[in-house]
Amino acid sequence: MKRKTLLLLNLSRALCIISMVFFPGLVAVAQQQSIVSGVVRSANDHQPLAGVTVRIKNTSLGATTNTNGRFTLNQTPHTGTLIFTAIGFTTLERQFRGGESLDISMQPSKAGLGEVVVIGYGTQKKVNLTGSVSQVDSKMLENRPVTNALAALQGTASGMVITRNSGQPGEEGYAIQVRGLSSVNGSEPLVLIDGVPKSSSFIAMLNPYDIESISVLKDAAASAIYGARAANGVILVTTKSGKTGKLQVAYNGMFGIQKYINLPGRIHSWKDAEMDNEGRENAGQSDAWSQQQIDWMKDPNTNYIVDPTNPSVYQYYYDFDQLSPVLNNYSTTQNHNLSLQGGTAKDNYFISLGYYDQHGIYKIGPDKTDRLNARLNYNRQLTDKISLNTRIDYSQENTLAPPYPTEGNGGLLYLILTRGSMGPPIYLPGSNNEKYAASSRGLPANTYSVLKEGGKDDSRADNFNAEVSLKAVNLIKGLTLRAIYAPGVAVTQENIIRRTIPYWNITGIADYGYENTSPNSLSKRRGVTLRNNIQLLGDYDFKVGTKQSFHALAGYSFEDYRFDYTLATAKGLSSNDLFSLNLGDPTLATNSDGIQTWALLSYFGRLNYDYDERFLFEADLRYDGSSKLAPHNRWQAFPALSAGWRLSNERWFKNAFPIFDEFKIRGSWGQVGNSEGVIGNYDYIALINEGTVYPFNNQPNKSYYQNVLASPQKTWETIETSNVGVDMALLNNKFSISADYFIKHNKNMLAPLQVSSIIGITTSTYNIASMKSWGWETTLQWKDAIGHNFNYWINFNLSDNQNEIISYNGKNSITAGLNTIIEGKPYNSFYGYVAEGYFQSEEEVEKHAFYSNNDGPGDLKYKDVNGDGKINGGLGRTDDHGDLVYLGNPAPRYTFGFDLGFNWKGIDFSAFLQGVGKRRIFPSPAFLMPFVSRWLHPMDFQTDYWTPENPNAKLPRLYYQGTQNTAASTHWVMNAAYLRLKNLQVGYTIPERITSRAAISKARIYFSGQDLWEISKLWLKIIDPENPNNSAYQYPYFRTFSVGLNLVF
Amino acid sequence: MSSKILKRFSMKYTDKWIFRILLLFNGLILLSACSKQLDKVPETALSDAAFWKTSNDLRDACNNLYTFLPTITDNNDADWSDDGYGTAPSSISDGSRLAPVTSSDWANNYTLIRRCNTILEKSSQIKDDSEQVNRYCGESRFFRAWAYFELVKRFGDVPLILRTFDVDDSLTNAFRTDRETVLDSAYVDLDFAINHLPKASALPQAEYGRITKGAALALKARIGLFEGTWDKFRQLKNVETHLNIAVNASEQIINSGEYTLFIYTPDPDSSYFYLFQNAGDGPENKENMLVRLYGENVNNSIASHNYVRSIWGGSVTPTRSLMDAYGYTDGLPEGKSPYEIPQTSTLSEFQHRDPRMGMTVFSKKDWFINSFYTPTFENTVTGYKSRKYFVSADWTINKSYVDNIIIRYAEVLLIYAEAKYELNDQISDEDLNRSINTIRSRVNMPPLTNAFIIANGLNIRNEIRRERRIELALEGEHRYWDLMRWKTAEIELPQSVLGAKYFPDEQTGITNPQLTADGFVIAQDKSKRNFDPDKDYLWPLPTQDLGLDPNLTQNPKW
Repeated sequence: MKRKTLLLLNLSRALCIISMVFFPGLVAVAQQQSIVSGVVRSANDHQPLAGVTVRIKNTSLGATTNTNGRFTLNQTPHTGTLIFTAIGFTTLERQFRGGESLDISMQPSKAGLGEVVVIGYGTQKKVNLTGSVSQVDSKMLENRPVTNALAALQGTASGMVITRNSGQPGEEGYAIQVRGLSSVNGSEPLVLIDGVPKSSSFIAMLNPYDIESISVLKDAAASAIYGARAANGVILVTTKSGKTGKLQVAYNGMFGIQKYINLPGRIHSWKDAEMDNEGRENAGQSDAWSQQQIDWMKDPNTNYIVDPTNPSVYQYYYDFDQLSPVLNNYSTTQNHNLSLQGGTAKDNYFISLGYYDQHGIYKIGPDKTDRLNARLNYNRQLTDKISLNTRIDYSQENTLAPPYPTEGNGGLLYLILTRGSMGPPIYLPGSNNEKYAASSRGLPANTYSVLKEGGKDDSRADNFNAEVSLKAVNLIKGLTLRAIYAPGVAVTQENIIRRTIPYWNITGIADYGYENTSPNSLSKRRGVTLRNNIQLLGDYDFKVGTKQSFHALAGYSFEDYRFDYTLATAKGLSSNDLFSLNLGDPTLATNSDGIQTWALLSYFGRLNYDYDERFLFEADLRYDGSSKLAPHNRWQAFPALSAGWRLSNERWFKNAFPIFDEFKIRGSWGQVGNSEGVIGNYDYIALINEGTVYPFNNQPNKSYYQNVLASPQKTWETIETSNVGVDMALLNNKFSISADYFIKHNKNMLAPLQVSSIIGITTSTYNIASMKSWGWETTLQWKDAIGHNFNYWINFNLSDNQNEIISYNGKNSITAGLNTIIEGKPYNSFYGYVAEGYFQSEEEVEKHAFYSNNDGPGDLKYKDVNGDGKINGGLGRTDDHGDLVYLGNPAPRYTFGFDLGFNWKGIDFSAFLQGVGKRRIFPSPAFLMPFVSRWLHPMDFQTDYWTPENPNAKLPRLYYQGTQNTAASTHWVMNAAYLRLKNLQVGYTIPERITSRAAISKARIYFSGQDLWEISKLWLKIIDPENPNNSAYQYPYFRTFSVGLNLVF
Repeated sequence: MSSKILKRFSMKYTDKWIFRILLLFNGLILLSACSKQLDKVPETALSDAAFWKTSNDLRDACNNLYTFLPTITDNNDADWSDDGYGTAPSSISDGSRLAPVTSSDWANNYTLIRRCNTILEKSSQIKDDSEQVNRYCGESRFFRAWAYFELVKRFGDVPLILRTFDVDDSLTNAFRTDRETVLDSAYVDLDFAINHLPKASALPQAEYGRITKGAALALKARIGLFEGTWDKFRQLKNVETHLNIAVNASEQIINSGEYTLFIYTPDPDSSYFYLFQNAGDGPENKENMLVRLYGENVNNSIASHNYVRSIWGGSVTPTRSLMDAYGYTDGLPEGKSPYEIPQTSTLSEFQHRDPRMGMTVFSKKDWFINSFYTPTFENTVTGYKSRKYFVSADWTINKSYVDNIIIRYAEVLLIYAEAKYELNDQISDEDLNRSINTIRSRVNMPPLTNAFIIANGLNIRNEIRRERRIELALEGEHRYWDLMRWKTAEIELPQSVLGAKYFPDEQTGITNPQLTADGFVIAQDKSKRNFDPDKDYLWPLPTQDLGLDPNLTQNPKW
């Protein structure tokens, strides 16, 4: 037929799509016939229901209720039947007449009968789940002044723990863990966004407002369909699709101010000097500072003198505040988001644009991040059986940071926190604030000048993902086929610019601070990551009789990854303002590159069987082949089985326990693999590494060596998981409880085969260990209304898990501090001495078992556990570890999240608390005491130390460069349990009767605060309980106070 | 796969363009379904299988061994002995250290041994140039001997590993091998190296820094002297065997005529000082037998160090004990020389002193960074500052390129003299003249003769040892190992560490100093220093290795 007609047809369709995307309202308005409108409410609490699908029976006409529960249908027939459907509510049919205005009340469905949960390669009704799945609603992510969606997810799902290790904008280092550790090698969950495997960093790159829901697949039954990568759980993120109805424009904006928390302060310079002297005297050394020098520090009129032995330098005796010239009291953050959505029965679209930025603690210099997100999700019914689903998203993240590390020893925070007032001032005295002062005592340059003039670390990540899928339904009745192609491109660009900063003494430039002889430099790093994913999926539903229904899924997937980076560095550039590789000294130029690749080919299937909505069975199988393993053991199968029994659908149960609306018990067993970050891409190949060059003939002569033994026998860690759970809903679905208990057994965990260093090479890891972890989770939800205007909810989740190394065929050795793998103990077992207070006298030292020549009054007294008269770690073996005893492990126990809220008329309130019930931490003692190293000066929390007059101090006596108190011991073990108010929101929705005058269907203003308050038992307040990993001079976290506006047009 | 089915559906249900898309998908999938897609290989790293092809690859692997040579900052290890003191007490020196969990002194040497063994094993498959192959085997065997000597010095008996092995090998549970056997193996390695390595004079300029026959001989002599005297002062056997090895090897070097003491022509009297300055670098200096190279300069900065700032910060400072060891220009030591006077200023102790004192320790007469040196206690606990390797011009740029001297000819002469003496309990004037007196004449010190010794009531052994101490002062670990092998550490190390005499009007940077009755600063008091002769002559094995290899035993009393 008529090729022309077809073409025209296609053209007009295309035009139609375009017009509907951009002017959907116009299309609707142009064809107006009759109108039906109304409002839909929940029968439970009479609150308006948003997102209810309203459809005219036997037509393709429909709409969706807006945030006020309102809907309007144009061009309707004059009479007909409306069908109302909503997740969690019983579908309702209602006759209508044209022009009528309806007030609909929908009954909540029994136990959210209709509630659908996203699972691997599909969806499942919640009531029919036999695996363990938590679902996080988009509401938990919205209107929160947080850096990214990961931050907002913290504490929202039982069994999912989210941590961060820095407060530095753009460098927070968020990490997710589901159900604790299942391996010592890495327990990162697999993350998929709209069904496409990505990594957790992609969640951080998403616009939180684009997320529709997040499913956490926790047990093997739920996750085994993802095979070799599923051992640590799977997180499925689904983005929003357009809702049927006319164009809806929404704007969400937020502006916040932030204040850093838990940053220590400085002490007076003279106090520092006195403590320095005391520490040296205790160590039998001469004083570092004379009384006159200390007096100068106290005297505001004597801030510096010319060094009597060297007339070209000043000696500085200031006592000034180093923090305030550098640190902001407050910094800002903002967030703007605009979305457009709508659709017809044939297609729908969701378009969004988001912008986020945050400024850091530094008053001057580069310290900020921002992110831009754009997304287009477009679905189109191509024919009545075939539909196209496209998702395109782009994100851009820009982070500006100082070009030198902020954290750690020698970092920018270190310079102000511990050298601060002892060091030189910012400017050379008498230089009219134009010349930076050089340090007179070998101290590094000051932070102010580095921030102001030192350059920047400018990084940018561009991320482009597309997903095109074609879906054919009912080709044969019950058969659905899907073909998905999802490419992704990520480009990272980082330019590190380090400018020359001259530091002056009296006679001239003394040095150039951090970068001494190559005064300036430029490093450019460019990385491209290419991902490809192809999936072919077939779903088949059929029934046998009326009671038995089956669902079968078969699939194929291929994934390919390639990361390629180039790094080029120029030094000694001819300009200190224009930074280009072209301007560098050619003899100092360096370049390098790196490529990482892997591929994964998989076949998988699933069979569900449902008998009379009472007995549920599921079987899963995945067969994975990976490029990371040697060809002879490349393929492995991962099976899972699960079953559920919906007791509440048994007549006898209903009669006996009518209080329950839903009661299901379920159990599962399965084997899944652990591979994310566990096995290197080429571990099975022996590689030759490039060593340091050696300067024969003043040439950089290359040198090569083998660094690590190859391990061709290596295979996936296989983790066997068993899970039992119960789901209950009662009191008319007001109250629901879900609980799970699980055991994970990592049967062939990879562990370094520890051998004596006489082997002379780093050994690889082998499948030689096994580990068990177990725990439980529970979620309680209460939702009710009082009267018509007040409804409220309380959700609580609590989880716990523990682990133990069952066997380790490698050799066990025990050392003071953290021991990663010891048979019969948890991962990261901490061993140390038992501290029994301080020695109070010389006699006590003499009488006590010997530890160190330096022991004296005011030092920790360690218990002689084995009574041999010496304090030591014995042979470091499990059968002889001297006086070291097991002190616990730093894994958090009893993690919980707690949110509650209410709506009353236009006012809404919600509070979200999150915390850890029990945690032992072991911060590094060398960081807790001043003068352990020469360069560590005291901070304000370190003045409570032992003296004869202060025998019960928090810290031992001062001892210059002494290590007798830095051994791992009970003295330094702390309790990092905490409760933190993560978010508090108070909002007011302006009544629609007012806003509708401005054509606004919803206007809400709110206050939202993040990390507003906490309690913890840490006696050392500089350590944040969320990040107790004891690194020194940590970039602090923020409290955020924000106000925002939600508008829907 | 399913193109037929799809085609049927396409006719029935869909527009053609949808069908085409489906076909395209289908094609993509078929393309990728091949499991060859799972073969990924490293694209930016060499594999072991592809690497070992020619003798050039052996050379490049040997280049890596040189990165194990002592670095210039290892000179700070002088603070283990009574010669030097750092910014804080050394736990090796004051006896306060505990058995470590891991030890780089242990592990790094075994890493070096493995890399040597790898090269020796891989060399058998390389046939392109047997002379070159032998040369690099010689280098590898030199380094293997070096590593075993470093291990034996510290730990005594150590596992002798002469091949590479994997984690399932029985060698992972190796026993400690008798030190005599280990050193015999080192001698065999060195003999191979001596036979196959080029002479220094045959080494092209471009290869300067590579191991030569002379360096291998010198290491052999060093081991011989160490083990010979170790045994002698512990009444063990094999004293003569080792001392003869030391005598023969050092004599071969002396007789070869390859090496001479360095003379700085523009200022011959200060040659000893310039030996440790940039002037001493390079093949023209015939004294240096093995150096750790740094290079070249700020304009070609391949390998640099900032040892100048390290010395300036007091990382190793001379002690009173070292200062007192310097003799006077009449050749007589403290207590014998009429030149000895009570100290009246910081400068007075330098008067009429062995010139090497002034070339090793800063005094007011020396140019420091941008002025003459001012005695101070700032950045020096003892109040002294070391001059060896202090290149004034490098302080500001904080980068130096002076090579680190590991073996120099003067040491060979000292080995010869001492080994000769210890072998026979006497030494001829002729032997003194060809060894120690050559060294003394460079710094204008009078010769040491048997007659002089007798005339002044001196002890010849003490004077040979003094000469060694003074000549090699603050050059790393020499003094510490001398005290260990002479078994005198138990006498010297538990003494108080003293520094300079305190002259309040001259020195700054000190407040309330702890002083001796004579006015010397106490850097570390005797009460904090300890040396247990039953324990401290051997180092503790790292406890982790003891845990991992049940056949390893700890040294006594650790």
